[in-house]
Amino acid sequence: MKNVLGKEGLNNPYIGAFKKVKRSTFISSKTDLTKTPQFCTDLDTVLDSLNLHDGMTVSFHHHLRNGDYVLDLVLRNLQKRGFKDITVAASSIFPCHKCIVDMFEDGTVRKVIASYISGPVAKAISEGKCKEICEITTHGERPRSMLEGELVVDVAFIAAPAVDKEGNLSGSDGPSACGVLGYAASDAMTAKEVVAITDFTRDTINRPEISHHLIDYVVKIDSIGDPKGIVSGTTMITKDPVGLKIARDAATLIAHSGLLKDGFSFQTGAGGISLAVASEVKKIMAKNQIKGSFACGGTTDYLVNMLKEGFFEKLYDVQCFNLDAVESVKVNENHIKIDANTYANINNPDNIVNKLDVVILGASEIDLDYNVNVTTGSDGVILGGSGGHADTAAGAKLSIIVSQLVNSRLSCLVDQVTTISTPGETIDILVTDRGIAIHPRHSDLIKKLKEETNLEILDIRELKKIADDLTGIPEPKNTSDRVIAISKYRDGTILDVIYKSIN
Amino acid sequence: MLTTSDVLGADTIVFDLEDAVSLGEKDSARALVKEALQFLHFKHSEVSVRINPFDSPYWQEDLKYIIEASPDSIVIPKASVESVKAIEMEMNRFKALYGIEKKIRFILIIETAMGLVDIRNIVEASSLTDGLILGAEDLSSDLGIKRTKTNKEIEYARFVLATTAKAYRIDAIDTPYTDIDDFEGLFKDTAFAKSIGFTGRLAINPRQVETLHEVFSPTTEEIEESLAILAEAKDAEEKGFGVFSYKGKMVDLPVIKRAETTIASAKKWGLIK
Repeated sequence: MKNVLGKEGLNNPYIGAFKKVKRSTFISSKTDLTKTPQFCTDLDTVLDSLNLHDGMTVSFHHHLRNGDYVLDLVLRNLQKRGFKDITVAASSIFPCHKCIVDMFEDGTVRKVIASYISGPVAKAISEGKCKEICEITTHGERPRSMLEGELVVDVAFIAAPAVDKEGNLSGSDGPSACGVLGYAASDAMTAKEVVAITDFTRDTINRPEISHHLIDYVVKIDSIGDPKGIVSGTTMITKDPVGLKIARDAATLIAHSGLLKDGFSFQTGAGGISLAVASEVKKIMAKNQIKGSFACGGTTDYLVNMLKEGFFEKLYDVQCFNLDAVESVKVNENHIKIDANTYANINNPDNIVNKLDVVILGASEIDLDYNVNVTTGSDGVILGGSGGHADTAAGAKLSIIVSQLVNSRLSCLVDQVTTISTPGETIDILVTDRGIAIHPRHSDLIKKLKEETNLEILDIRELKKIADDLTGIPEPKNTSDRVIAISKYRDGTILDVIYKSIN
Repeated sequence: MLTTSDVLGADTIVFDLEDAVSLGEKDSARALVKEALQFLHFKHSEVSVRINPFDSPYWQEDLKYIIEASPDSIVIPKASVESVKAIEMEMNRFKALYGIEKKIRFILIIETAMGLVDIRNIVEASSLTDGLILGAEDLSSDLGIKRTKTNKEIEYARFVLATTAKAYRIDAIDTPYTDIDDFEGLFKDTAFAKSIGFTGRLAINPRQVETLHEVFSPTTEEIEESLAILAEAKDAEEKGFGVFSYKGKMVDLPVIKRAETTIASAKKWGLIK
C-alpha cells in the first residue's frame, strides 16, 4: 500500500508527521519496587535460568558503540545453544557486531530491528542475507513501540558499566564507562526478563539511572567493552574550508531566524560541519551575551565545554559520543542523563525534542520535497539510519540540513531520495556551500533573510540546477523487487522500504 | 579544491601554474585550469592565473592555454619592466588570435630586490596593471635574509609596496601568512598590513579567507558613522553648505570621500545592501 509520500508503506503506511494517534498507554507490571536482582558469576547460569526459546526477541543498547562486547558474547552463546529465528532488537548495530552476519546464514538470527545499522551487518542485510524484513526505526520510535506493546522483548541484555549492591545500573562508573544508558531504560521497563551484564560492581555507584527493581539478573564478566570504541566517527570541528563556509552561513541564518536569544535551545550532531555550526553559533552567543536554556542529543566535548562556559544552563544527554562527555555527565549536575523515551518518544508529551528551537542535521540525500535520506547510499545499500534524525526534525522549530551540495561528484540534492528517513514535512532548511533552500512554508523567514543578510537564498529547484550543471543527471538506478528492510517513522508507520541491493 | 574554489569567499582566486605545479605536471595543470575557468561559474570571485616566470621556458605556453579561457587577470611572478612588457605583447597576440576583447589585467608580484628598487618603472610598464603583491619568501631569499614570524625584516618592502600602490591607485596585496593554524597571528599581522595601506592579502589556505575578510572589511561602527556622514553631507549640499560639522568635528571633502570608500567597501564585502 502506498503511503502519503507515494512510497511503499506495506501494511502500515505513513500518513503524515503528526497525524497518527496514540492507541495504548504503558502500565508497568514491574510494580514491586523492593525487588532486587539475583547476582550470578557466569553467563551460562543466567542463560540456564531464562525462558529462552526459538523465535524470541532479545534486545541490546549501543552505548558502547563500536567497542561493545556484550551483543557478540550473548548471541554466540545463544547460537551455541542452538536457538533459531531470533529477532535482535538493538538500539544500533556497529561493525563490531559482525557476528550477526554468520547467524543470518545459519538461521540463528532472522530479523534485526535498530535505529542505525552500519558495517558488515548493514551490508549483509542489503545483500538479502537476513530471512525476514528488518526494521530501521528512530531513537524515539524504539521506546514508543516498547511502551505501547508493539515491540515485545523476551530478554533484554543490558551492558552495564557499573552495578551497585542493590542492582542499580549506571553508565558513569567502571572501566567501561560510557556515560549514559538512555537507550536501555525502556528495555528494562518492558522486557519480560532483564539481564544486566557488567564488569564493575561496588557498594554504591555514581548517579544510577536504571533501578534495581527492573533487573532480574546481574552477571559479572571480565570486560563488557572497550570504552575507546564509544568515540563517534567524527567529533572534531571540520577544517575543510567548504564545511566551514556552510557552518558560518547556517549560523548567520540562525542568528537572523529570531530564535537565537536568551533561552535558546539547540541540538547538533557529532559530524564535523555540525560541530562547526555549534562553534559559529557560540561566537554569536558570546558576542551578544545570549544564554541558552539547553543543548541536547548525543554529546561531545564541544557541547560539554559550552555547558561549562555557561552558554547553556543544561545539557540533556541520551548518549555520549566521547570520553570527555562521559566524564562530564559523571560530575556536572547540569549535565543531565535522560532516557530515549524522555528524549524523543512522539507520544511522550514531555519529550525534549519538542522543546528544541534549532537542530542541525546531515543528509546523504535530500529531494525537491525536502525528504531526507540518511539510511542508504544512493546505491540503495544501507549505511546508517535515522537515529534521532526524524525525531528532532519533527520536534524542533527549525530543522536545518547542512551538506556540501556536490561531494565526490555526487549531488546531495535529487529529484527523489532513494530511501525516506525523514519526511520533508518536518525539514525546514537546506544549507549548502552553493546556496540555501528554505521550505516555502517559511515565506516570512525567506523575506527576512533576503532583506537582512547576503545569504544566497534560492528555490530548491534552482539549487538543484546548479548541482546538475556540475554533475550531470545520474542514470536511474536498478533495484531488485525484494524488500529487505523498512524505514519506520517515529509513530511506527512505514516511510519507505529498502530493496535488496543488485550489485 | 578546484571545483569548490568558487564558494570559498575569496575576492580573487589565483590558480597557480608556477611553484605549486611540478615540472612534469605543467601541461596537465594548464589543461585543468583552462577547463575550470571555462566550466565553473565564478559568481562571487574574480579569477586570476599565476603564470610561470619570464625567465622560465613555460610562460608562453601558459598564456597560450589560459588566455583562451579569458581570466580576469594574470599574476606575473618576479615582475620586471622587461617581463611585464613582453607578457603584455604575447598576451595581446593570443587575444587577437582567439578574438578576445575582454580587458585582462595584470597583478605583479614584487619579489626581488631589483623589483623593489625599480617598482615605479615596473608599475608604469603596463597600463593593465591594477595590483601589486609582495612576495616575501622569494624576496627574503634574494636579500639573503631569514624572515621571522614578526615580519620585521620585510617592513621596508611592505611600506614601499603599499605606498607605491597607493600612489598609482592600484591594489596593494600583502604576502601570505604561512602559519595556517595561527589565526590570531594572521589577524594581528594583517591588521598591521592594513594600517600601512595594504588593501588585501594572499591567503595560502582557504581557511584564512574569513580572518582576512574580518580585518579588511569595515567595522559596524565605521559603516554606521560613514552612513551618517554621507546623510549629513547630502543635507548640507542641499542647503548649499561646503563644509559642515559632525559630532563637533568639521567635515570636508576628504572625510566625505573616506566615508564613500568605507560604504563602497562595506557593499563589496556584503555587509550592507
